[in-house]
Amino acid sequence: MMDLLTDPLVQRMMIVAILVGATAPVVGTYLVQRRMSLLGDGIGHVALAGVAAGWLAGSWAGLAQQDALAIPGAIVFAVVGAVVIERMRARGIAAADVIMAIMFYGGIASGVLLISAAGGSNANLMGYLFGSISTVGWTDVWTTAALSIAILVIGVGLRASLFAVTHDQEFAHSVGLPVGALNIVVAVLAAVTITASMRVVGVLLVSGVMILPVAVSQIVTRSFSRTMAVAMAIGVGICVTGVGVTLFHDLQPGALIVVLGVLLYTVVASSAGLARHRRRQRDHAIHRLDDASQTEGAPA
Amino acid sequence: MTAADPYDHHDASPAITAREVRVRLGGLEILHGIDLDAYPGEAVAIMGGNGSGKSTLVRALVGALPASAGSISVFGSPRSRATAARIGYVPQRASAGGGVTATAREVVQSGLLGAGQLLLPRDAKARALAALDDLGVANLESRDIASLSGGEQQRVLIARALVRDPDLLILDEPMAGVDVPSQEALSQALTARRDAGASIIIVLHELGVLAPLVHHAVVLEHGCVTHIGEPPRALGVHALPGHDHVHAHADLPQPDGSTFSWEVRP
Repeated sequence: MMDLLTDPLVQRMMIVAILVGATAPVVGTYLVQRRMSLLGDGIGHVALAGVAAGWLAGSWAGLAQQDALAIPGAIVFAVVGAVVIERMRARGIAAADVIMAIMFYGGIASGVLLISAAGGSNANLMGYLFGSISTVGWTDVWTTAALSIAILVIGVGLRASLFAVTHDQEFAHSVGLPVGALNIVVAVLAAVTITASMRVVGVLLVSGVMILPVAVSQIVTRSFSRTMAVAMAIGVGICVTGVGVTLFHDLQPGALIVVLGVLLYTVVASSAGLARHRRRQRDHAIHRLDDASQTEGAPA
Repeated sequence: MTAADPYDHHDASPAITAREVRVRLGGLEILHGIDLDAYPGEAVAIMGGNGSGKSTLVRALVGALPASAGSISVFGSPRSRATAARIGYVPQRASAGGGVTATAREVVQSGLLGAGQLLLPRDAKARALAALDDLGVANLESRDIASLSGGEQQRVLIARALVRDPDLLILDEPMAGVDVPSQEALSQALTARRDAGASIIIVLHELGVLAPLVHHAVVLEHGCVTHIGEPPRALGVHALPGHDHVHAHADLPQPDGSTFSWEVRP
């Protein structure tokens, strides 16, 4: 066990897992709040096209490491994609779900086309589709750490304003908040989170790490701030557990993290449902007792 | 202005002035040049049937919708994000809410934000609690807003507007789906604000318990002003004989032969 903890690869994997687990639910909270849980998928697919474009640029430039530009490409594409989605949504050009569908298919199709144009194969994309945490180097760790700090500072620091805008946009306008700019902030945060999480869970599953902890947290909390804080803890929990298990068993970490999230949701949701049912039954019993005592006490 | 006549505003400057305001939505002109003035210490009702443009007008007044033509000035300056600091807005209840639960206090605290105020002030919690207390709902502080009744939600939304200590209060149908005790509490809170010198613009379907609050009314029809002055007691089908629904009191026959009566405030 101690050997494992001193192994630099394990250290790198754990650091990245903690960072992604803590940051993804921050942005996820705003997306759930805005009822755009699937936005992460839309942006993720666009980021995949960015990975392929970065790859193509790398091969044109004759770089030794062909995928050196993959992550920068993903960030650029994801940010541009997120801003376009947000502008289209805000101007009412198309319904949010239609915009998202266009991003899904457009992103994945252009990703596949670009990677084949770069002389790569779809296999090259697999690491980005499902994550490849076991290949993270220290550069990846520093990149993820920098992106995570930016997400935490903005996403947690501005949470009152971002809450106001995502909760009631009309009111946010009336108090003079810069609504358009704050909406763009949420979109860009989502894009950055996705590229930062891509190495751990991959673009296909990244939304799971953003949304599932929030879904679980919502069942047990009432306040927005608490929902976000508990979701961050759950995110760290499932990411560290998922990566930890894969040290001992040959499993795909990204998929395991998401399955852990779904299991946790199922357990918490059904326990909460059971507790509600019990409470109702107990209330009914008390009412019956009350009724009985009133009938006895009433004059004949 | 004399204390004896709070409505005499001839030497006061208006809290808000709208001139020839036009609003287009989806290529269709909804408001065809609206004029409106509201002075400190007075309450103006915007009335009219469904689809007359009442909500569109208040959304334009607060900047949630852009006006395609005309001008809106707030306390003498063109409406901007900076003038928003003096406005407290209560949108229709259905417009609020998201996928994540939020407590009543969090919702009220968001009323403390503004153009130069992206972070909550240090005393946000105390101020939000005081605002909830003014509306008689301090006990709902940590309740999930979505679990509250219509009347309770409305009181929270009004607390969110009042926590800003606004000089101009704009409310869109605050009495829709609100229980009688909450209506009374809202009416009292609004009257207190008006008497303290705030200007109030309130979209109403009918005057109801707010009749004593309202000084004059602007009636809209198809996006045009058709009446400015004395508030009409009832509109549309309700104005027909036998449809007077502003009863002094109401008596409901009970199954056991007695009557149950309650008073509607004159």
